[in-house]
Amino acid sequence: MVASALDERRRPRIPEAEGLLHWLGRICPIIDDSYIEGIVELARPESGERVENWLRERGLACIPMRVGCLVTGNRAAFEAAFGVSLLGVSLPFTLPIPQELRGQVASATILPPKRMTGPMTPVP
Amino acid sequence: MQTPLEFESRIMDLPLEFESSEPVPAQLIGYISVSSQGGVSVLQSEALERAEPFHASESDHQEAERAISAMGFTILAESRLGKSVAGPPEAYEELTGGSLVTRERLVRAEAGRERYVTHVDIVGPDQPTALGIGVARSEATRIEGVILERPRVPMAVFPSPIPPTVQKYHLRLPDDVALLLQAETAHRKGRLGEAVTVAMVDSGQYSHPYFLAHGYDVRPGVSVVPNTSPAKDPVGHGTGESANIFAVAPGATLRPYRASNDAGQLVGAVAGFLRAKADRPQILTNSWGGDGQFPPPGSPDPAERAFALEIRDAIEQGILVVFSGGNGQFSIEPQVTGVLAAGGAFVDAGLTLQASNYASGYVSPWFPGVTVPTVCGLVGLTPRAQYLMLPIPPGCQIDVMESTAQEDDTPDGTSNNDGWALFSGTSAAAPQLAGAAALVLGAKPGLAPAQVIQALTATAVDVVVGRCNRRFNQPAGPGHDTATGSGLVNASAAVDSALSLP
Repeated sequence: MVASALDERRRPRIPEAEGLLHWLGRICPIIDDSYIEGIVELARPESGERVENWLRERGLACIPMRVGCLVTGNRAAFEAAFGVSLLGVSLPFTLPIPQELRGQVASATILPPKRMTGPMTPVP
Repeated sequence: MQTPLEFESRIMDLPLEFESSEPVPAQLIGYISVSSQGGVSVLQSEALERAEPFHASESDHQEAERAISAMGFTILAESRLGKSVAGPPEAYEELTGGSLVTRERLVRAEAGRERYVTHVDIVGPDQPTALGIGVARSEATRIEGVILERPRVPMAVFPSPIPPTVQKYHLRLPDDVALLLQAETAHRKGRLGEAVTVAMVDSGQYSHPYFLAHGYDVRPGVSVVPNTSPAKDPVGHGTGESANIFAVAPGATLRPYRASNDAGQLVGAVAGFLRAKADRPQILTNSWGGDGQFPPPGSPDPAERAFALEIRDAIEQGILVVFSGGNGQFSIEPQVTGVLAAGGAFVDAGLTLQASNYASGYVSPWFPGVTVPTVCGLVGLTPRAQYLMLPIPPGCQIDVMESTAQEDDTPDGTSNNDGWALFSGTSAAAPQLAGAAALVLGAKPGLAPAQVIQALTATAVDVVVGRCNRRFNQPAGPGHDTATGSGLVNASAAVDSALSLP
C-alpha cells in the first residue's frame, strides 16, 4: 500500500482535460487554430498601408509596429493568405511571401506562444 | 474594547466589512415589526424583559398586512409582534425608502474559522447603521421597520480572501513581501504608489475576493484573443502574480490585459503588449518571455528584432517596462536596453539572503552592457519555487498543479480548488519590481524610466551568497553580479533616493 502510494507520487503527472493542450505546449509550441500572431517586416516603410490592406482583405487583423505590423487571425485565414499549410509546423515558422507582396515585405514569421515565467515553465 | 474578530481583522490587515461584488438576491426573507402598543419600537428598545409591550393591535396588524401585500411581499408566518415575509429587493426599498446593497462581513463560521460572509444591508439617509435593518418610511403602514434575515454559512464568500495555513515554509502577501522588500517603511510615510497605473499582460484577471478585501484598485481588463473574457484566468498566473504589485504598492492602479486562450497558452502576448503600450501606462509589467538556445547561435531573428524595437519604443515614450528575467530561460525581452529585468533572491526563515537557483542570470550577447537581471524580487528555490501564497481562481491550472506532488517536490498544502497556491518564479519578481517602481513614481512623478531604474539599482540590498539557475550557474558575490544584478530591491530606500534627485 505504502509502496504503491509512493509510486503514485513519483509518477510524472499529466494534467487532464483542459490542461493537456498547455502541457503539450510546454514540450513543443503548438498553433492555436483560432488565434495566431505573426510579425510582418516591411521591405519599404512606404508599403505599410498597402500591405495592411492586403492582409485585412484576407480576414487578418493588423496592429502597426515600428518595422511593419503584428498580424493576427485564425489558422485558416493565415493558410489562405499565405498559401501554405500550417498543420504540424514547428514554431517560429517563416511564411512564404505571396507574389503580390514581393518587394513590399521583407519577412513574415509566425511567433511561438510566449511562456509564463511562473510555475508553468520547467527549469532545465 | 475590540472584539476578537476586530482584533484578528486588524492584525491581518483586513477590514471587518467591505463592499461586495455579489448581487442582491432576487428574493429576500425578512422580519417586519408592526407598531408596538407600548409606544417604543422593537428596533429601538433595549428593554427585552417582557414581550407584551411590543404586541401590535389587531387594527395595526390589518393595516400592515394590507401595506406589505400591496408592496409585493408574501407573508410566511405571523406572531403578535410582527410578520416573517419574503419579497424582492424592490419591496424592501419601497417599504423603507432606502436601497439594498451587499457587503462582506468577517464572521465566525463553521468549526470556529473566520471568513467573510455576504450580508445584505439597507442604506439610505434615514436608515440605521446596523447591518440589515431598515425603518419604514411611512407611519401610515403601521410598520416600525424590517430586519433582513442574516445569511448562513453557505453564503460565505468563496474563495476566501484569507489564505489557508500550510506547513511548507512560505511568505504571505501583502505583509511578508512588503516587509522584506522594505516597502512597509515607505507605506508608513504615506508612499503607496497612488496615481500610478501599472499595466500587466498575462493570462487574465479573476476577481478574487482577496483584492476586494484589501481595497485594491483593479480596473476592468482587456482581452486581445477573440472570444475570451478578461475576467477569466484559466491558468491563475495573471491573477496570482498581480497580487505582488499591490503588496509593494497598495495604492497603485492595475490595468490587466489578458493574452491567453482558453487553454491557458499565452498566444496573444505581443498583441497584449502593443495594446497595453498604446494605452500609455506609467509602468508595463510582463511575467513572460520566449526561450532560446544559450549561447544563441547568432543574432536575434527578424521577429525578435521587431518586438525588441517595440519594447524599446515603449521605453522611449516614457513607459517603464518590466520583464521577468526567466526561470532558466534565455529570451530577448529582458535584454532590451532600458528594460527593468527581474531576477530572484530568496530569503529563508532565518532571514538569510541568497540568489534564487530558479532564476536566470546571464550577460546579454546581443545588447552591449546589459546583464539579466537588473535587480531582484523575491523568488523561491528549485524544484518549483513554491514560495508565495497567492490568490488564484479556484480549480485553475495552478491550483491543481501546485496542490499535487511532483516527482521531486511535495504538494503545497492547499487544496486543488480553494483559490490559493504557493508559487513564485521571476513572474513574481517582475510585479514586485513594478510595485517598487510605482512607489518611486508616486513619490516623484515624471521621472524617466532610466531614473527609476537608477533609484532601484543604487539602493538594492547586495546578495552575496548562492548561484542563479544551473543553466547559467553564475555566482552571487559582493557588488553587482550576473546572478542577481544589483541585488534585492529596497523600495523605501529607492523612494528616498528618487526624492533626493533635483
